[in-house]
Amino acid sequence: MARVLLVEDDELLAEMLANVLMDAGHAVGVIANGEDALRSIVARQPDLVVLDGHLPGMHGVNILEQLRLHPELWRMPVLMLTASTGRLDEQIALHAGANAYLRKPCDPDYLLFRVDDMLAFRSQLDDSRRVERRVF
Amino acid sequence: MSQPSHNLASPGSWAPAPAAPGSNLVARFEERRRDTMQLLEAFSAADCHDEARFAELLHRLHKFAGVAGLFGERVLGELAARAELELREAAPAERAERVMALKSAVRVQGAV
Repeated sequence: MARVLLVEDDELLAEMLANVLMDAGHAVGVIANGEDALRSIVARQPDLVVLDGHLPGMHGVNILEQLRLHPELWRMPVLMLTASTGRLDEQIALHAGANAYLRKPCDPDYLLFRVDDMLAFRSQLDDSRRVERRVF
Repeated sequence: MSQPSHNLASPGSWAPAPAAPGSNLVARFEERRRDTMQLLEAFSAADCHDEARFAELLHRLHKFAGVAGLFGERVLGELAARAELELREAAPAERAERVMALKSAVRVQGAV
């Protein structure tokens, strides 16, 4: 089980995605606006963030950029979820540090696959760092 | 002014407990679907030059497209997403033709 923070302003979509993630065994928190998002991420330190691209108060990419500058949380896995269909938006998000980029409407199974994949990768990375620390 | 967080999970909680997930969500989606399709069906060529009304149509298509795939309406959701993008990029003179094309496509799907 992982703690997933969902930053999404569409209440119906947020609740639906939260149900999908909870059914898969994850604990889910939901934040509806950009201004609260970064503060909440810092305070709650989730295992993974699902971040909407367009939020009231702040663009998702701006939140991502701030997160990547944070001294402790810069490695946090972030999946950007956006209704934008433009290729440029995807490039901007990935360049800003998104670990994955999904377009709405997204397939619930694929969302879960990406979430689990990102969590597994993060876990392997943490394991290898622990080994490195023991060896060196 | 910041919006409140959803009541699904309070900002400090990791234990969300939706009161009645299934039927409540489906009913809310059906309401959104119905409102979007009704707005689209009633949308006239003249409405395409009313910026406020046109923006409302784009907003509704955007919100519908974002959730449709999660409720088994993948084709309709993709239609709405593509139409939103095309309408945003269309010159005002092209809007009416694109709205009519969307209406036809939606009718083929039996959504209105």
